[in-house]
Amino acid sequence: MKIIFLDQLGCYVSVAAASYLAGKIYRNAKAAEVACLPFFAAHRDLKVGRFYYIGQDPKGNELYTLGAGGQARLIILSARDLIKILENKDIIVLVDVSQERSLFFKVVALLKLFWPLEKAAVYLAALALVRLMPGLAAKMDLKMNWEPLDAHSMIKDN
Amino acid sequence: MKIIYNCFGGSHSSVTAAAIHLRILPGDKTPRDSELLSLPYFDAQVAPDHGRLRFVGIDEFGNEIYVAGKRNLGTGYEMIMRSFLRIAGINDQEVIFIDTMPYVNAWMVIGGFLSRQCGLNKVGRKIVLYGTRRAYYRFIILVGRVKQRLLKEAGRLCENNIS
Repeated sequence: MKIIFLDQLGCYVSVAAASYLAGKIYRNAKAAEVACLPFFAAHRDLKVGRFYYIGQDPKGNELYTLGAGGQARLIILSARDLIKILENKDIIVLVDVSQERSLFFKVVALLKLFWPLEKAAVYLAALALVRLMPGLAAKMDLKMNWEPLDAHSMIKDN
Repeated sequence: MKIIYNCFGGSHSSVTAAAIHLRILPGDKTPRDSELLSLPYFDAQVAPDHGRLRFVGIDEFGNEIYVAGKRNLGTGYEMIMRSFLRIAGINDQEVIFIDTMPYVNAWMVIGGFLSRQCGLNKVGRKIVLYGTRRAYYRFIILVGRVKQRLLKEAGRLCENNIS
C-alpha cells in the first residue's frame, strides 16, 4: 500500500506526519530533530506537484509526500476519479494534512526563499511543528482524514 | 487514452472544448446559445464538484474525453496529477491534460463568476454565453492542436510497431 500525505509544498507538515509513521520522529520531538528530517523545507521555489519518498512504515507501506497547493481536497477528488478511470488495482491512501496552520506554513515557505531568512524560516517551521506534533501524531494513530482509494471504498462511494 | 480538459470550474471553457472535440458542437461556425446550454455540464457544476472528472464521451480515435474543474491551480494541476500517477505506478502517458484557461476571455470569467459563484444564473449565463461565442474560434484552434498531437502520437506508435 502507498500512503501519500498532501500539504502545500509537500515538505512541511506532510514530512512530519510521514516521518512519524516511518518511526523517524516521535510525538515529543525537538525542533532540531524536526529541522533535520530528510526533505523538511526542501523546496527552492513555490512550485506545487513535487513529491518525496520518506520511507516505509513498520507494516511495509510506502510513505510519500506531495505538494498539492492549497487544493488538497480537490486533488483527492481528481485522484479518486483518475484511479477509477484507469482501473488501478493497488491500494493508495491520501492523507490531507494541508489544513494544519496552513497560513503560517505558507508564510514560512515564502520566507525560506529569501537568503538571509532561510535558516530562521526553517527553525520557525520546526518550532511550530513541535507544538503540532502531539495532535498530528494522535490524528495519524486514529487515521483521521485518511482517504483510501481502493476498489472497496469506491463501491461504497457509488 | 484519456483526455482531460480542465478549467477553473469545469463548467464553460473545458465543456465547450470537449464538445468541439467530440463534434457535438460545430468546428466551423459559432454555435447558438441553445446548443451551448444543451451541453452536458455546461454552466452546471458547483464548488463541491471541483476536482471531479466528468465523462463527456469517446472521440473518433477511441479516446475518452473528460472535463474537470481545478480552481486556481493553473498548470500546477497537471504537475500534481502527474506526480500522483508516478507515485501510484501508473503510466502517465495514458493521460493528456489540456488547460483551457489561456483561451478564456474576460466575459467568460465575469459571467462564470456571476453564475456559479454568486448564484446570479440569469445574468451570468447571458454574459458567459456571449463570452463563449466570442472565444469560440480559439477553442476550435485549441482542439485542432490537440487532435494534431493525437495523430502525431498515433503515427509514432505505428512506426514503433512496424520497426
